[in-house]
Amino acid sequence: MIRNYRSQLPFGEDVLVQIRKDVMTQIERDARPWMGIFLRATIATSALLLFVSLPVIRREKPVASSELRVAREASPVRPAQLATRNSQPEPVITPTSHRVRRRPIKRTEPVPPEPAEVRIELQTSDPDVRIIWFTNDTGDTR
Amino acid sequence: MTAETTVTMQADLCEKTQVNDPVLLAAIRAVQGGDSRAFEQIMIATERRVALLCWRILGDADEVKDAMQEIFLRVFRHLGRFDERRDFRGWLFRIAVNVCRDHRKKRTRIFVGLEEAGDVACPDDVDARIAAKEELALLTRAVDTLPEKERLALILRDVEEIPTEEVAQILGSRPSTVRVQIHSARNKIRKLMERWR
Repeated sequence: MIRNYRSQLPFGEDVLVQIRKDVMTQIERDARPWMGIFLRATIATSALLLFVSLPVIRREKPVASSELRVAREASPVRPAQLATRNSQPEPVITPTSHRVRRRPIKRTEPVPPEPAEVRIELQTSDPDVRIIWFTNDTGDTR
Repeated sequence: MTAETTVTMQADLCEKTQVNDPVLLAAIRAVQGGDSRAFEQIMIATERRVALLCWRILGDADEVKDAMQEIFLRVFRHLGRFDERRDFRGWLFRIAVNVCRDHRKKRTRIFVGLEEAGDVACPDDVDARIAAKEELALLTRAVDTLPEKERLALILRDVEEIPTEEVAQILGSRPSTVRVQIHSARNKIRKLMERWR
């Protein structure tokens, strides 16, 4: 009796043929060498691009807030602050090896001062006649 | 080429190998040599037995189809490492059992109804045929309730009629362990059948 345990397949020959076909298709797909080469080349190119672009990305990294805090604490402290600080010991923060990036100071060209104008007024004997003389640093006179 | 020469060549081909079928052996060697199309011959030679084994272990037609695809793809990928001095059927069945075990782990146990139990080679008597079918349905249900290891040992030894030593190799256990499992499985089935009748 036990030999009759599920002695007949629940599907016909056509299903077996279909399974065989599917397996062979999958095997042929796996066997295509150019697919593997293409995949490996893509992975290698991506890795290379990442490797090349990583130092650039690191260099352009903005200054972290913790680094700014270190820089601020290194600046001179006011006595009031010093008093409160001495009461409770603070953890020692060692400065990181990164250089603190500071904003470049804009240097503006000094504007030359306006040439000073001198006005000389001469009173003549005639009250209605006055001689007015304009001059500047350059020596131009009017 | 005479028939006698062909037979001699086939005998030479099968020498020092566990693979008895010359067509199968030639296909195995061809695939190992890089001819992937020859794998179809291996499938044709073995698919029915593999399908039946999967059906006995899984009891679900859709799962059998999935499992068969996975089994043959696994066989193809590992065939390069197959040593032809080993038993090919045992090697193939070991892969099949492992794949079916994985499939069974993914789902809950199923019970087979009377109509799914299959036909029995029976006399023409209609009553006798119905009785035999009912008996087989009970048996199927009883086998399905067995623990995994006992069930597999029973299917391979009693249903597939594979020698105990070979069953032990397929299941990766010792022959003595397999004997104990089969004995226990038979007892459980007997008791269950008596209770259900």
